[in-house]
Amino acid sequence: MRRAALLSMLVFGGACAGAGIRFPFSSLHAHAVHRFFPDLEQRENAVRYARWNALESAWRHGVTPDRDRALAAEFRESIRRLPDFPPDPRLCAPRVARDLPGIFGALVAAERFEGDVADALAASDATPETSASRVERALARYRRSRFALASPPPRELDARLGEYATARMLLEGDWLFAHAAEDLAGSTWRDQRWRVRATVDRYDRDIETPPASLEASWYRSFAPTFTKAYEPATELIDRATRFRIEVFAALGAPDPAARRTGADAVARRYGLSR
Amino acid sequence: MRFRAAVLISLLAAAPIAAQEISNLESARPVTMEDAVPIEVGAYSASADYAYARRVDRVDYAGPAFSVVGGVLPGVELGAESRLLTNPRLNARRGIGSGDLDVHVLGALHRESASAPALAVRVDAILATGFASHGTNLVGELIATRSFETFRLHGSAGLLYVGSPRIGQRDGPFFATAGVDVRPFGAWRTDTLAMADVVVRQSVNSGGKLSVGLELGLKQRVGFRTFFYAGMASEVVGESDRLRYRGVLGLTHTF
Repeated sequence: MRRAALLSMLVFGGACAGAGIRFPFSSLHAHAVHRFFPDLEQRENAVRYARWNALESAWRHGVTPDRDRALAAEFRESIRRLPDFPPDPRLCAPRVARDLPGIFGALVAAERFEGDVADALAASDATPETSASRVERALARYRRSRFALASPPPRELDARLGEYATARMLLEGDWLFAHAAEDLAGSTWRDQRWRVRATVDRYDRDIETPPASLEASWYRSFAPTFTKAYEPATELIDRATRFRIEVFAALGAPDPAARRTGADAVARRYGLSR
Repeated sequence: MRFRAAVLISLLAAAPIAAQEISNLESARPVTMEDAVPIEVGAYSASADYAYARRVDRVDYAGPAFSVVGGVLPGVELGAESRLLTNPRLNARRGIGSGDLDVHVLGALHRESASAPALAVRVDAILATGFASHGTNLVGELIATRSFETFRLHGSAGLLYVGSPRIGQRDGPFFATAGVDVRPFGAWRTDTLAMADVVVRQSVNSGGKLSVGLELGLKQRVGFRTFFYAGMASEVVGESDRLRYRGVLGLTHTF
């Protein structure tokens, strides 16, 4: 009986592995960015903090020049502090989690997917085959989520967001994620270290004066090797960036009721329930 | 039985990985209150801690506890825990088992929304696997959580059904908790969570006094998936064998 139990577990495990279902205790590549590229991870954590705090602020107060200045200052302080761990979205943006569960869940799922992809590329045992298989599994997991974003036709982005320092800094953060993915995808494990270091140095210089453009296809623009190898992942991450920008634009209204209406419209556009 | 256990373990292991965050509270780690949000499907955690308690009647106790919690279905969390204590016979008479296995299910009833708090129901089966244990007990509890800008409120109320009450013992004492958790360093640093609660319990002895306990706790992220927690409790009202104070220190690792 004991042998039968053991055998059944092995057979079941093999079947799950074959079907692309990941085992929680076999995730040796998990948190690879955190382990092998702590300088990159710290900056990405600062960007994650800024994304959630900006969203919470926009939902509660709208997007105003005063709030923008305060957020930009806090963002700079966070970059200087370099948080070791990613934020807990529920604690960073409690009102968004409470009042806009669809949008909150979609952003959590997209953030997790982006992290999973980076971890797959940064793993010490990464090869084109293992990375492709891990990215594919992350994609499958994302698509199973009830917060997976639909793919609506692209819409013109609100150029007024470019007037806000926080928005420009957040887009610079999106550039960091995209460029880091390109560094990780386009080089061997031995060379990744130096390419990521150069990207981090450039980010540290550029974050002081981020460009005012509102380019929302960062991975497609800045990560050609990554895009070529992982086309569906690129499309999904760029879609999430576009979604985030549309949510911010919708929350720019001074009136809370208008913010609610705008957020609901964006959620519906991307196939999310409230 | 073992075959079923193996299949169950395989099913649990095959679930996709998700995150468990610092905001997921676990009862008694470090304080009694818990949030009404079950951990996500595919998230697992294991905890180990050590508690030391001094009682007013000087029948002190101490010992380690171990727990495992997993999100097995959307909105459903399964867990098991056990605590080992000194003075097990004396504590068993007070309804505090040593080595009993507590298996629980936490099911979400309502997701938090703009107009209503999150609600969950928790059912515990406390199996008499420990020393001087006296039958299986069941606990039913309703939990509510409401989030605000800088803090969250948690409340719960429940009944302990004592399967085999001793002479002079109640078979259904009630209990309730109310508490708050806050981010002491603000929204730009969510690696720390501080919490406090009040716990009211009806005595397990018929005619016994109500006990009121105050608890303070701290949860700190110390690794990518590792949390340290510490708690301190004291029963300010109750019978002569109430807690003077209890301290607990532990670690939770999530997978």
